[in-house]
Amino acid sequence: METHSSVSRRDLLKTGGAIIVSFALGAALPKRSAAQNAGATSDLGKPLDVHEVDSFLAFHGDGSVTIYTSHVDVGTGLRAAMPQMAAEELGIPFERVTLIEGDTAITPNHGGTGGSTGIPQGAVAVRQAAATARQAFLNLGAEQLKRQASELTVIDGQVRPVAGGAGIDIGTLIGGRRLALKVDPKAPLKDPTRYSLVGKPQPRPDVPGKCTGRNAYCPGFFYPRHAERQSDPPAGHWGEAFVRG
Amino acid sequence: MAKYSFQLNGRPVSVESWDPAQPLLYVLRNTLGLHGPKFGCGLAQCGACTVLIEGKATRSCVTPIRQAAGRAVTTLEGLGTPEKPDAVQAAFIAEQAAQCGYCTNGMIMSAKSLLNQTPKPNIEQVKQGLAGNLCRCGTHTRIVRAVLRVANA
Repeated sequence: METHSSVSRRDLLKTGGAIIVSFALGAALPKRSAAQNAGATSDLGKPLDVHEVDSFLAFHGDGSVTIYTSHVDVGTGLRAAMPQMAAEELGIPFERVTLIEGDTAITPNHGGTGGSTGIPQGAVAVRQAAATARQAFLNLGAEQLKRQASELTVIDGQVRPVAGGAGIDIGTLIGGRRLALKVDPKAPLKDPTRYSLVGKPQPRPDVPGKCTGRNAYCPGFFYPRHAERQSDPPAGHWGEAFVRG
Repeated sequence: MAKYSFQLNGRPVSVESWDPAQPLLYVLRNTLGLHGPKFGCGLAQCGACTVLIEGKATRSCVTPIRQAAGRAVTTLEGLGTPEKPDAVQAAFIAEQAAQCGYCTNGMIMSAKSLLNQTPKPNIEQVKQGLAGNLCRCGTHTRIVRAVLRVANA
């Protein structure tokens, strides 16, 4: 028989109490969640403003990129689709994209999940931030490569001359620094006829866990155990309230 | 308190329960910490709680613990892992036959039971075999394809 690890209620309250209190405040003051004002920054020091490219995207020195979104994947495939759309627009390989979803303490609050808004609102906003970043890559690349931005393209994580020749990695160009740019609603989007990722099926990362009983669902989180029953219910009275986990 | 011993995913387990009518599902999830079988309706009508007892699909939400005693119980976790899924799990992954995934446990366990009895089911037999498992996401066509993939392998 397996034994549950014993995190005491006291220990849990000591470490988690503050979080619980802030949730309660958030619920009492619904405006608070919408109050991610323009100047707000997260604990990571990154901006949260939905008008800033850096709120949605972080470019790292190794050429990888992290997407931050308030939308979450509830089995709808957003974890595959959103990185696909961003990678396509950025010209960065899909494998180098990581998605951080749902935690508005570190992601911009550009809407929650529901009503099929994940792609048309959530991913479209990320795509526009990516398109803005792409223009920045071309401009930065133009300086470095001493060419016109119009002669350059972004492919495979590199800014390269369309005509061929040496390129420069995006990681080298911008990695680890912020772009400090407003999302440009007019930044040109990639021509769909040149898509190489979007439109091709991408396996969802959550499916193997769901098919093997390893995916974590909300009822599977055991702590805190404030609501744990103190005594056994009377025989024959098995209600769903007693199903824990 | 009475003790109930049975085989769980190939290993002997022993659990205590004050009520011989306690549903097996509760013992699996609460006492034994397994998360494969799900609580859906609690009335054996949705199939989310399905496990195999002696290779046969059984609704664990209405199976009293006393009925599991001395028998071999298999849950979704007992079939395979994300790294090494069994044939049915691998087919579900290949067909991406899950959306929210809450029914997936029952779909795979019922498919397993069907394939145990009918190794080469046709599409009608697959539909019949999974008729007692509900999916609200609408993943049925992929689920049927996944089972047929195993049948035709």
